[in-house]
Amino acid sequence: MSEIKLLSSDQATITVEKSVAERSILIKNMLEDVGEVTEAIPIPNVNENVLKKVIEWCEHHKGDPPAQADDDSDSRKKSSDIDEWDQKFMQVDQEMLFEIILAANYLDIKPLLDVGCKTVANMIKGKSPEEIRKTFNIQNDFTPEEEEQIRRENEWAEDR
Amino acid sequence: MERYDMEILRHSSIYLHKSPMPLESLPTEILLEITNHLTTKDIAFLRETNRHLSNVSTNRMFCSVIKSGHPTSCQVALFEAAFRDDKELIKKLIRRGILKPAGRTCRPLIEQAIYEFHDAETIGTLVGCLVEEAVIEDGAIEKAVGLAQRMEREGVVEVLVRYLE
Repeated sequence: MSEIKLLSSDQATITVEKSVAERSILIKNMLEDVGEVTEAIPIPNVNENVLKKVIEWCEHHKGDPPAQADDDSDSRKKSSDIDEWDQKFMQVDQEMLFEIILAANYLDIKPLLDVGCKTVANMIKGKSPEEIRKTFNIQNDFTPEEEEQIRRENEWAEDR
Repeated sequence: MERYDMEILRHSSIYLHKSPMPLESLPTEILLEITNHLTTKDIAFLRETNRHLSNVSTNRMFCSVIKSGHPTSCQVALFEAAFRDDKELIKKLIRRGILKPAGRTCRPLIEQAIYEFHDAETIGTLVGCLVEEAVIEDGAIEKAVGLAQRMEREGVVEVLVRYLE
């Protein structure tokens, strides 16, 4: 079983099974391009904590069947359908959650990105605008006029 | 000494408990991905939170009404897009199948637009997109011209006649 090394943005070297690391399409393509590598592959956008977390996810999901290409159908729409292990995995503070999403995006791990986005969607669902602001620490930068305008535009959508 | 100060800073509570990364700092493509998992109502509320999130999610809100299949919402979404003169959005909505729930055929839709909009150009925007997307049925514009004539809306007649070929 071959192993490779990854170098996080904060210079930590992490050894990981090649098949696990290849859940990342970015790393998979990189390995295909360069062939055998002995030195650590730099992952400049991801720090050690986040990278370890991402690898933990990849390890758990290494046996998953490959995602069907182009499944932008309704199956993705339901955000409640996050598997139990993933739900627990995503019980982290918000900063870590966003870091995982950004790392999954950068490393091109579509199913992890999906789980992250669904988790955030679930945090938005059923909340009022003020509650959403509070949850995510969002600054309201509307003028009262703009806010009124958007509220009016929204009227038809809000009772759906 | 400097290094020592850095260590203190690194372990200070300010560093450890900095406020969470705001949602709006996520790249647009990820925010859009998140809205894929939301209902029309949730997206509408997200739009009300702040400027950036509003810009990102507005188109999504219009598109998500198609999924809802609610005829009134679909029609309002089309009319809103026409009112904003957003031709790209109208065409996108048409291509995604908004006409099905909105009114099945174009004729009642155009007639409703004539009743609802005072501005002839807004009606022209909508009809223009319907024509360009080749979804308009034979005779629909003629009938709309007839209605506009009966209502003595000369501006509307003038705009509609442009699309009669």
